[in-house]
Amino acid sequence: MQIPEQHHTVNIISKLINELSKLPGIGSKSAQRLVYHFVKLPKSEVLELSTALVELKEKIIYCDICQNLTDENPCFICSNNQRDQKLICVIEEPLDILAFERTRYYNGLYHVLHGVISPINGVGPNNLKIKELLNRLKFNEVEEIILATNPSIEGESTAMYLQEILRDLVPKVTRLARGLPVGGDIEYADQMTIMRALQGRQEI
Amino acid sequence: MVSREHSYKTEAIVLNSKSFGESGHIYTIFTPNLGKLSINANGTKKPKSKLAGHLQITNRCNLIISKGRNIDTITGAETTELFPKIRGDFALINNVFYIIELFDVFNPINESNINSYELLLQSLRDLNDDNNNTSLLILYIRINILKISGWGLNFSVCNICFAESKENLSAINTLYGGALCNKCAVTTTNSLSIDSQSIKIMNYISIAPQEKILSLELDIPVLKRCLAVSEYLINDNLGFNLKTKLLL
Repeated sequence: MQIPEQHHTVNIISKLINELSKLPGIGSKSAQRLVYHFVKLPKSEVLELSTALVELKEKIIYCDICQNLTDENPCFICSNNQRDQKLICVIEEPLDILAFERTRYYNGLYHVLHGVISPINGVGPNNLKIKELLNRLKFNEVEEIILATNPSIEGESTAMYLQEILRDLVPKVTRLARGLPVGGDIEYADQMTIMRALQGRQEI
Repeated sequence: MVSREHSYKTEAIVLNSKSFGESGHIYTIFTPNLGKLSINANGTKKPKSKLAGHLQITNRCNLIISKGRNIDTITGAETTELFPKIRGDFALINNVFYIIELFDVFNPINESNINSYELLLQSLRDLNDDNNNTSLLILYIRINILKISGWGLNFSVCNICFAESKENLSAINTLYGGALCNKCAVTTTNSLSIDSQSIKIMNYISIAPQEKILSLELDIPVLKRCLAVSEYLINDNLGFNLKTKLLL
């Protein structure tokens, strides 16, 4: 007779495996490995992890101004007076801020949309933080908005939509340049990338 | 005998993509001979990905796909046809998303439908060349995707008494397979009342070639009526509203 699977493992372990395997990119095998790794870890390290997770849910909020994830409101970027308050970069996800900050080149503010217009996935303009961006423009003097959505068809349509509604509200609306990546190989570039690179060519 | 080939080549139109894993995507592609497939591609979120640019939604491309235990993986891609005008027009993009969702829901996974593929390809070409007749094109696609998928309706005769007089056709009932005459319509339930002119137009659209349809000049009220009826037929067939339609 075959023994039912739940009898092989302790309930607490199987519950944790089940919870971890719900995480993106983690299957049941990886979840099992993680759980048995936790069992071997010293109690203090596991407690640190669990405290960090609880704190994440209790303390992390959206910044009222830029909608980025933060533990203080407004976030450290919005409250930094050294940054250019008249320049806003509109991005899709909070993780994109890290990419921009790594460059140490951009010194303006951000606005996180938390997604892109994607009709095929049921995401429309009302599901994004566009209303918050418009409210922000009412109370702040902004000279330029950089539309930094991804160069995918959804990112492009979101940029076009924003360009349309921001045109009369901001003196300058710009879009990130699109073209060949540094270190890339023209031989492998697709037609659209080469077209965009040609359109955005600059005199040297 | 089991094929020893570890990979295969196909042409495809990219219908959708979803983020998958650390840096990849799961792509929904529509192929002429293999039907709709869900395929993995690794590293497509990275800027230097050699695949990502070719695998943009609506692109037609040649793919090399490696067979996997659970899911196949794209290892090579080359764009053969792209539709740049579609990307430059917000209103057009929304219609394209609607058309793509239509083809997505009407084509089950792994079921080849060459006619459906050709209809999608020709529709993308038409949208890219000339976007003045978008509404007419959507009407054409709605009526013909039903036909291609085996749910086509007969608009030429009454589907109960088979009377051929088109002037007397005044309703559509999907249960009876299409148009109904005045007399038969009153004997049925859930029939959709519609004027005979709209039925005539929908009949023409269901039999005429695509290039002829796009040169038609219809009065706006008639076109709107036909669009409303065709939308009803699509929703009635699917049993739900398309997500993209709600956002149009």
